[in-house]
Amino acid sequence: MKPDLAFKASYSRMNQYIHLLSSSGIGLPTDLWVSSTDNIKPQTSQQFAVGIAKDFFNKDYSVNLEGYYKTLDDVIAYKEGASFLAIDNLESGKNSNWEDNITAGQGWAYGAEILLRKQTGPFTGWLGYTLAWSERQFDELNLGKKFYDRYDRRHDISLVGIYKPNEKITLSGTWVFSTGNNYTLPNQQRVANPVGFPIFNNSAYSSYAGVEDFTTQRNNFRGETSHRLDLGVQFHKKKKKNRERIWGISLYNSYARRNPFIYTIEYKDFDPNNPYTEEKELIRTSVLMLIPSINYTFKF
Amino acid sequence: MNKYIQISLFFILLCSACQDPVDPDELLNVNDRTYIIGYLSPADTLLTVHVSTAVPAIGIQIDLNEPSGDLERYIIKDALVIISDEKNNEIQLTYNPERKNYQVAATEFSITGGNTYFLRVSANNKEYTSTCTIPERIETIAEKITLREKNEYYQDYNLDFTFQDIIGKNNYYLIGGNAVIDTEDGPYYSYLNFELNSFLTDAIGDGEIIGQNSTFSYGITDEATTAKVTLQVTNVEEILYLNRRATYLNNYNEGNPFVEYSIAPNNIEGEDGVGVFAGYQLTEKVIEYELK
Repeated sequence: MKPDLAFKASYSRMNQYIHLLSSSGIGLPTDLWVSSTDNIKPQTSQQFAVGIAKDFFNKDYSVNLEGYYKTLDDVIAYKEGASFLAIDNLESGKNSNWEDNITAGQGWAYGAEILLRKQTGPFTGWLGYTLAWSERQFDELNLGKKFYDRYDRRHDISLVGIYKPNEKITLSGTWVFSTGNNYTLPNQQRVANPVGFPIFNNSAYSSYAGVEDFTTQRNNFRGETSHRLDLGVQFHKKKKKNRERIWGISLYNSYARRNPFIYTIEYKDFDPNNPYTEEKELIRTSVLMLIPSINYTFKF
Repeated sequence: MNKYIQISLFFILLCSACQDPVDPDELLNVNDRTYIIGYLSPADTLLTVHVSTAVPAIGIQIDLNEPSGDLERYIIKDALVIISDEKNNEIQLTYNPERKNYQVAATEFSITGGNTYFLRVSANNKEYTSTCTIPERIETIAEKITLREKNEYYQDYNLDFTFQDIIGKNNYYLIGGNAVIDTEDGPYYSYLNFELNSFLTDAIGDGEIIGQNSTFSYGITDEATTAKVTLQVTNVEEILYLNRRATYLNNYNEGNPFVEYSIAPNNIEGEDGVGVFAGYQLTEKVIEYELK
């Protein structure tokens, strides 16, 4: 529209022959990429996006604002009650056909992104913020009702700064923040089998305590938000014939934020004052805190 | 030098993972819910509805010394529970402290196949409603029992049983049964546990013959001559089928991190209400089988 102002609009239709297959529980993430088969159709998507971009202060700064709406067909997920293991029955060694454990549905992803960039000078960087929703609907899951996807992250922020005071040193810092993932967590308990029913089967696996955990909604539990600051410094040295050697030191998660990796439900430690009691607690396991690293690069 | 690098890397990894309990009040923020469950059948001698409170699963201490006594705190004992029919006849169920349920004798309120019934519960200053319809009853069950294995310790029997699907409707069945063998020490119950196969539908075709098989056995030392075998088919409302199937799967797979959780349906209307009010019909066949 003008040299420093652009308006963008796009439509795309895509077919994808590999599918992301995720579990919804709180345990170890089992994200698999699986191929389409005769029984599993390729995933298709349509995306509409509109945006505006503008440069400021002689192109020193720029801002991008974009909105998108995406529909997905033939996304796949595990059926309820399905096992993620290839061997269905460990005692008999009976194999299960993984395709029998899969169901197909549809999805929607929509949101807006803003990106502010500083593009010139010794200090460059950007601030990006995404507000997003990601929903799924499967006839065979969650009683056919829509639910938020595991990776439905409402807020996502990234702040990146790169400072080059001279040709020999580069200092960088990256701060990322994102809303937690969604998990299916039976977070309520009720009396087990409180009324009689003539068929004996459910009671066969009831707990001794006489209660059972349940939830009425898939992906009902949103994990904690994650954020971390990564810092780095690079030392450059120009060599002959336009070669360059770079020594780098970086610090991943520099303030040792205990971001959730997985959650587990465990029984509280034995209490000698109440030896015949049990109480469940939700445990967050965090990994990769405060990881320093050194790297060497030689460009030729 | 290499050794020190390896030790340092191991130390970094060791220090880089940790476990912390999460404050459930902050993260889970679960409201207590009113749990209502009632199954109606013309075969019932008592009409029963259960009303209790569903509480957070995490952070609640359970007394294992006397779990049934500890469950008292979940039970809502002062609820108003009323069942009515399409002609506005209604009956109030009263709390039975022994069974921890609301009950009334079935002779005081008729439950018949094909009719619709309404549930109204007032508890904790909230109103809950639900509706159920009693399905049709399966007329006949056919069975075939054959000796599967016999050795010096026990005899194992295979039981095939079949019934015809009710024509003209989508039907949902739960099947089960038991074999009772008299021994010197008293009756020995062998449940016909069909496990997940006890949940059947007429997806194979309207009016088709539906069948399953199971086994039962007895020890030779029992010197029993006959087994009293009870075969059961319940034709249940879809919500009851889905609810019990989901509950079965979740209980069976509890603690298995490799299994996807099943969501049980809910037909209790009202703020923070959860549970099932549904109808079913029971068909039973009892046979005396001569043990060979």
